[in-house]
Amino acid sequence: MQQVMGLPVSVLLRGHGAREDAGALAVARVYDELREVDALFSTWRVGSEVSRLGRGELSLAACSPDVRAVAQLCDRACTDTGGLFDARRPDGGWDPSGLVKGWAVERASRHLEALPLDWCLNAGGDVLVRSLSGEPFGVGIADPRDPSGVVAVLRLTAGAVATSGTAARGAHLWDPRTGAAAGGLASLTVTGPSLLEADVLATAAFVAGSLGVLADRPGFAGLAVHPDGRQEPSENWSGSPLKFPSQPAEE
Amino acid sequence: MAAQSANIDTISGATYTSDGFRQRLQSALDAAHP
Repeated sequence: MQQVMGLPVSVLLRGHGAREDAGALAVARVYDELREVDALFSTWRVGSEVSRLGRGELSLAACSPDVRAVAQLCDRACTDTGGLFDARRPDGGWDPSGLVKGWAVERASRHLEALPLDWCLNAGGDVLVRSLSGEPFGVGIADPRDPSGVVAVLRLTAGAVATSGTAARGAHLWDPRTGAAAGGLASLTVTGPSLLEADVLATAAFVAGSLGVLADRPGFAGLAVHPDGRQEPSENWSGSPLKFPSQPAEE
Repeated sequence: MAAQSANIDTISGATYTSDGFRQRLQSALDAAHP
């Protein structure tokens, strides 16, 4: 596990089909690529292209192809979600971080494609899996009220999982009557064939406070977790709920 | 532990470091409550 882009990134390899050094090399390439992306996109780094773009020191046309590609993807995501996803900041700045993560991780995962192994890549809670063996990976959905807990499990042999939720409590982010974010949810998870899209949809659905954005995206499924712990899955959600640790197990 | 008995390999959760997300949420809130 390494910290890249300010996130914990880990790769789980499973199987016996590859030489150990082939797996290590592929994983190293994933991390290297994510570090390159961070150099371009990090809004925390003063010298990144995105930071320079934000200060007006660089025009979009003068930015690297990756930054321009991400800008286009952000525009499309904004249109597709009716503005629920928007990289434009109220102060006129531009912050593509919500989309860059899924885009970058998905692109970096191509270094793992050729390995004759099952793999599971997790970058800051964004998950991508590919099982050649057919054995699924168990992807736990974090308990938004307790980071060490899991509220549901999704068994996947291929695909992506992205979860949206709020950061630390601040008076302007929460409805003081319910303790919930303005959209009304504690967290929202989306799973589907694309991590980039799952990320965008999870953000949009979380802000909207509903699974409605998934209505015309049949390849994607979702799970909304309400502040009281209630789980609301989309019709096509295939995950199974787990009891909260404080409740007795069913079996 | 619940996680071990359910055969969990990895966990998907929200990233709490995303400043960009907070900005979007703030925009949505500002728009909803002018």
